[in-house]
Amino acid sequence: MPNRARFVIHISLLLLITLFARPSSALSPSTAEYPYSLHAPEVSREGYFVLNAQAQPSISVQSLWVDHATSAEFSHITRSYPWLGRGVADFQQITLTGFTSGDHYFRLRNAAGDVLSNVVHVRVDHYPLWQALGLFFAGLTVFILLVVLIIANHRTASRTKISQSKGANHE
Amino acid sequence: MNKATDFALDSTLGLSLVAIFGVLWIAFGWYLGRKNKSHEDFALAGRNVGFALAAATAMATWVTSNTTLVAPQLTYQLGVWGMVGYSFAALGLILFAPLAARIKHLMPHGYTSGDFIRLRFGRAAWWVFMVISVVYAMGWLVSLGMAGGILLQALSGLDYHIGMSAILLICVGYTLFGGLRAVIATDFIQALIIIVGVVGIAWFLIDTVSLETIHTELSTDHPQLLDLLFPAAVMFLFNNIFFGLGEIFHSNVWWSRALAFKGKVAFKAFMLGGLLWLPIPIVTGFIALAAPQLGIFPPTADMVGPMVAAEVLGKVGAIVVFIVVFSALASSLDSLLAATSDLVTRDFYHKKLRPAASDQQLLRVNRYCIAGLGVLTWLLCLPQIATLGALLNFAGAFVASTIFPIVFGLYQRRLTGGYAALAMGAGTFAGLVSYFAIGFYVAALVSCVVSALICAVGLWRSRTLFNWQDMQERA
Repeated sequence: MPNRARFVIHISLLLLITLFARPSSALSPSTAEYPYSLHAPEVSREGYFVLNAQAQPSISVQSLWVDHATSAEFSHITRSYPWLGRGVADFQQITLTGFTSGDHYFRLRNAAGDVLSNVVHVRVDHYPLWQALGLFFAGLTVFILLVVLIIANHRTASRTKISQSKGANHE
Repeated sequence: MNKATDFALDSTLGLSLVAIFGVLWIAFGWYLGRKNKSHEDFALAGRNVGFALAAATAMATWVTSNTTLVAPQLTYQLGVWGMVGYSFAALGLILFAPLAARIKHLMPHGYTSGDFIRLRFGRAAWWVFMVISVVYAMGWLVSLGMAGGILLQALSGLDYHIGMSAILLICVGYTLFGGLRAVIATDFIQALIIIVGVVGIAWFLIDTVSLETIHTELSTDHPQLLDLLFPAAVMFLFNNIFFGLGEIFHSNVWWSRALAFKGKVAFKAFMLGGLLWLPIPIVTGFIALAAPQLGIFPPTADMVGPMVAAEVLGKVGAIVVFIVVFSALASSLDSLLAATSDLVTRDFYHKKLRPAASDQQLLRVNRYCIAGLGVLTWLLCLPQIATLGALLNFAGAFVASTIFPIVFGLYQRRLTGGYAALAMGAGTFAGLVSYFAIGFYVAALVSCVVSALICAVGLWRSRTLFNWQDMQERA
């Protein structure tokens, strides 16, 4: 291959590499930058959900905390939740509960405050109240019906049993 | 909060406790089993159980992984309604009291709930009922085995599979030796342990973490748990009631007790058992509300109860929790093993395969069934497929469909077998659809409503009357 052609190919490859290059912050943080990868469901209809964490193979055992914020920037951390045991070495998930409807963001950190994972987003969207109350009153109606049915039939059966035993005594 | 949570017990102590309890219960089962001379002795304790043992076994059997692990789980997930709603499962025992009296009157020589369905509704309904019973029994057995593993893991960090295998081995062991007599006697002791232990834990918890601080923490960081209009929790309330009713009304665990209690004991025993049970989920559920205040956020929601109790009470507390929960699990697991093996022995082996089987053959088959069920449960427990609450409520779609067919079957002569089978089948199907489309907290409710509507149509359209004398079948 002549030198000129080789030069063009090298320059083209260099351009191609440059074209595909990204700043490190633009790469998926769960795989490239952080020692832990955090996962969460996109939506919760009940206000409780499970966060899962996976550690890179080389990570040493350490205690973890989950930071919670209502914005992806974590400008204000509303609460930190301690991870049970010795972090991911003991348990790979944590169950959080009691959240109101809205957007919630989570990430992992260590005791020193170093951020150790990607940020995950959970949208809590509770069922509409009319739907819940509809099922509640349907249940209440059927339950009252059942109780009345059992009590009325029990009393009738008891009366029949007594009259039968009296009849048997007369015979 | 910058303090990570550690385990309350070391794994050697956890294993030692399991071994001590295992030896004690199995030895006790063997001692009681020496009195069993016939299959009726083994399966129904000679039909001669008195009031004190009857009330204790009703209450202790109903205190299970549901109350000790799932009640805190549902409180952690659904808040105050989870706790209150769970206690309403006591209505199952209370409303079964009149049914138990009726069962004893209609079937003085009966053995199982399957007997009733077969005689009252015929073969089609019997098959549907047996599928429901087997699914439920396996679901409950698996949840109990899983609960044993979760308990040891939460308290000592011991591998889930070790705890699960240990509790199954122990319960299969003493049920195999002692039959229903051993089950009821151990239930009595376990009931005492449960009541004393649960009250003690709640007392220490309130003493350590005040109600005021718990309320402040929840209203600030977990406000949904205190919201009385929490939609999923509002849906859950009657779902749990119907689930509890379905569990008790259809299950041979309770029918075998109704038939084993002597004379008119059944009504009073179930009523008292229900009233004693009522406050227990409130106490165990309340424990979970303290979790956020204590900085406890479990890997799975069903671990929250033992973890909070162990955190508050320290090592001694963890031992108390272990003993209480282990007793609760054992009292249910043994009952379910005994009742399900009775159902298989009586309804499949005796009525379908070997009608001429001798008493000793039935006794032997019953024991094989207990061992076989133990092995099957162990295999199904190996993969931890779901949380306890989700697993149990899946069964809710099945059992709630049996409530109205059983109540009408016991009291009304007009409901026919075809409509009873349709009510149970369609109710179960609707419950399963709602389980997957909405969530576990509506499955039983939908199943029960659909089944009730079909039963109502059946009563309205039926022109035939069942003859109660047809229930009088000799063993």
